[in-house]
Amino acid sequence: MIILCTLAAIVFAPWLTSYAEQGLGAPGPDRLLAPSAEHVMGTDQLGRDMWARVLFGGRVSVSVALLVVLLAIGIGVPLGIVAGYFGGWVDQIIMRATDVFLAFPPLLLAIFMAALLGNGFGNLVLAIGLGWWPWYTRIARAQVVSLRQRPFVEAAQFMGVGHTRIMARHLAPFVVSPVMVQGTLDLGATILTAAALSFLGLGLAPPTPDWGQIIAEGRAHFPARWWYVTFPGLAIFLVALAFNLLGDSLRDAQKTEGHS
Amino acid sequence: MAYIEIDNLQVVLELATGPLAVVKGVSLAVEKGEIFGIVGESGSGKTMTCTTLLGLTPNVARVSAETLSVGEHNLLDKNWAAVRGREVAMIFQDPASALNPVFTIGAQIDAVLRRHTELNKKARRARLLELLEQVGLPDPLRTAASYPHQISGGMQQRALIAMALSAGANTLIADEPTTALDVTVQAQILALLKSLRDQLGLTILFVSHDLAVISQVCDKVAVMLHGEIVETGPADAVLKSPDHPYTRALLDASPKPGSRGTVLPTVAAQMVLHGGSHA
Amino acid sequence: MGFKVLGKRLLMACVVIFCVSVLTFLATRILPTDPAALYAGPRASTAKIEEARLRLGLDKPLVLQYAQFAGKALTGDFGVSYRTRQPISKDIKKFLPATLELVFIAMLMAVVVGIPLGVLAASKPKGCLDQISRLGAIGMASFPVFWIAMIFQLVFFSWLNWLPLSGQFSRETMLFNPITVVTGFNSIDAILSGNWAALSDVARHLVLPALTLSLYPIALAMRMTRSAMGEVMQEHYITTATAMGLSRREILFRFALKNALPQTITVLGLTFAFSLTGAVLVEVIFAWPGIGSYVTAAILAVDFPVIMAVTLVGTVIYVLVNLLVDLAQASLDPRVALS
Repeated sequence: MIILCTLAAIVFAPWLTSYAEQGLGAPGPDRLLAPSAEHVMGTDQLGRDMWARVLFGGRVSVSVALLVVLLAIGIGVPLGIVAGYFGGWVDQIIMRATDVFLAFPPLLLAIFMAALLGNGFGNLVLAIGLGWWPWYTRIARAQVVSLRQRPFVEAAQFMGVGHTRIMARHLAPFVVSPVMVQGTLDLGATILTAAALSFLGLGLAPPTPDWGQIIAEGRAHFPARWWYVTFPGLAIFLVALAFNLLGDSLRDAQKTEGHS
Repeated sequence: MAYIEIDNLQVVLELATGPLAVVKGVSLAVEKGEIFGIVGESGSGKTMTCTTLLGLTPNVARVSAETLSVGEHNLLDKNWAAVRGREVAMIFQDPASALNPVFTIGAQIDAVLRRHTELNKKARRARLLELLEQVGLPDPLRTAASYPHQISGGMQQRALIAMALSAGANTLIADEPTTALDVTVQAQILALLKSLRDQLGLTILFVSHDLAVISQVCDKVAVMLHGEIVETGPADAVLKSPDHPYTRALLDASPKPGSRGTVLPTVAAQMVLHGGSHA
Repeated sequence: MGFKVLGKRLLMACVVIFCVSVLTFLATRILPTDPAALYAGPRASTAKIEEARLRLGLDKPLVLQYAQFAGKALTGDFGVSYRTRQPISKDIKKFLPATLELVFIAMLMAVVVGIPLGVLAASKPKGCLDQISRLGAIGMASFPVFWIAMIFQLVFFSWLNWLPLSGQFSRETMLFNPITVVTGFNSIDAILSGNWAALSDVARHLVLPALTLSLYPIALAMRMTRSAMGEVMQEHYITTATAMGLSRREILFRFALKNALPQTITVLGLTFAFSLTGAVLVEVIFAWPGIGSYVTAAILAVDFPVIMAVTLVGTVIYVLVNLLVDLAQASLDPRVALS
């Protein structure tokens, strides 16, 4: 429910506020107003409506998170399937590579990469995604290893179906459901990571808002103007919570399915 | 009054699919110092009957009875702290999984001694070695220092029996105690249980699906089927001249000397007959 | 445990650390930013930049550059910060204790609070505490650390005025009861030198950052303990222990927990990783002079050697912690330890 509302709010942002252009960065007349009927979340130091900023910030934050997860799946899953299918030295190389990437404390690698790459939407996605793919490699590999010996794979090999085709047609479908569960859980985590990076000044260049960056700006007016940091933070929390709850119940559903 | 009194015991499992009666009005009377066998197939409710004596029935189980007592303990009071270990102890089918893998045998028995006796550390140590010797474990010192996976299945079962004795229980429930063991080891464990009964006056409730085993150790026997007792009496009498068709079927299904080469009838086939006769 | 296993794990850790160092090194060289230009400063002339290039050895082949970098890093020499113009190792030595103080408290809280709560939650599956542990873990995993830190400041400083806003100690302590530096850990130093006034001040300043950083580790430890214990409680030996009349407390905290412990202590590795990176954010909010504040300042100044050094040091510490957790796990299980 929260997810649907959030997504709808973000997509229809221009229609949900009369301050759309302020949401994108244009300054307004009244600075640092407390929440009122006119500005439900108050205004910031440039007089921009916070509600509009949070809505438009959500566009950036949620799409960064989505793209990070997609990127991680895009790199991780094929590698995992290949590693699991071929085994041997291919498997060794790929899995040792995941070990190396997982040796970094998660946020630290992202900070490092983001600092090197500089600000920008694509760079932010890349910086986080680079540290995230090994998890999907592990999941996909574990799934494929458990399937590799099954008769249908051997039958396909016997009939002369090519390796690529076997992996794409016969093995990939089995990887989808665990990857989906992990992906949902990771959306919550990537939103937090993205927010943390842009809070540290490693996100997008202003004036395009995203949640972490709004909070960073709000720190200058904290704690006197409490609404400035409270509402974007609340938005991050609610969306992350929604993805985590969804992921958790998906995981439970999958577990019971696996037992039956 | 008998030592163990069970009168009209009912156990109903409250499952998601609806209530399921697994023990339907079982009544038993076991005298002190008796070895009482309960025989039946898996799912006949024999284990469930026994676990009610220790309050170890699963959470979904609803237990009711007119009488449920062991010695002076009325088990319907659910004062399990006074019963478990002190009065009734239980040993299980698979000794390997019934022992905690990350504690030594000595530590596990010592925990029970600490709980149920006032002995100090040194006295507990002496008692521990004495118990291990009593259950016929060679080299008690070494066994005490061993982890469960380091000793054989027979030794594990002996260690469990020692643990049951260490609590000072007068009643021992033995749930298929020899099923997981080799035949030779099986005979040794049965002999041990018998000798412990003779030495200590233990009352033993012996659960098994194996009539041969039951006939070796038990004084009395009850035959269970579908949560009910279909026949009960002295072991010799029941096994020599069974009254109930199900008991006959069970007997026919177990191998006897001279039956080599013939096909044993299966109980399932006989049960159809039995079920039909009641219908 | 056999020395062979120990040796193999150590070797693996070394290989991983080597790869990590190559990776971080390559990343700084491949990317389009020119280290020489950064070193020389913003308005430097081309000549100055070339001079810096020679001085940093950036004209040499990559392999040589790496060898030089790695050789120096092994002796603890990470070069000089562009920003502070101080040797980075000296800076790290100065800032690391403050960070570790926070990280250790968070891990300690996870062990002392999280694990027992997890055990209790497992004692009654689907019970009240169990539901709280589940929701708590999910909730804590959804808070942005830096935001909850600010909310704590709002509540405990602005509204209630119970605790100080930020910093490690107040100005009065600095002036009248300065802490003698022994270990670099303020609280320990205060205890060692018997400086009780300073200790209480330090403790008051510690509460909020430590609390912020501990929330997630506690929830995580509780959840992982709960799930490991849930499996163990189904085991036959738990039934045996119950049948022998052992107390519930002894069964839960001694017999079951020891079996669940190998799984539970993986929490330590995870909480360490979380606290280390979470500390970066928490330190910024609470103006805590640790590695996090140091690296954040470096980020803003595009001070690459510092970012790289901190990444490396953080990763090496993390790998070592994971190695310790691995070894502890192996030694806890007699079936593994003795084979």
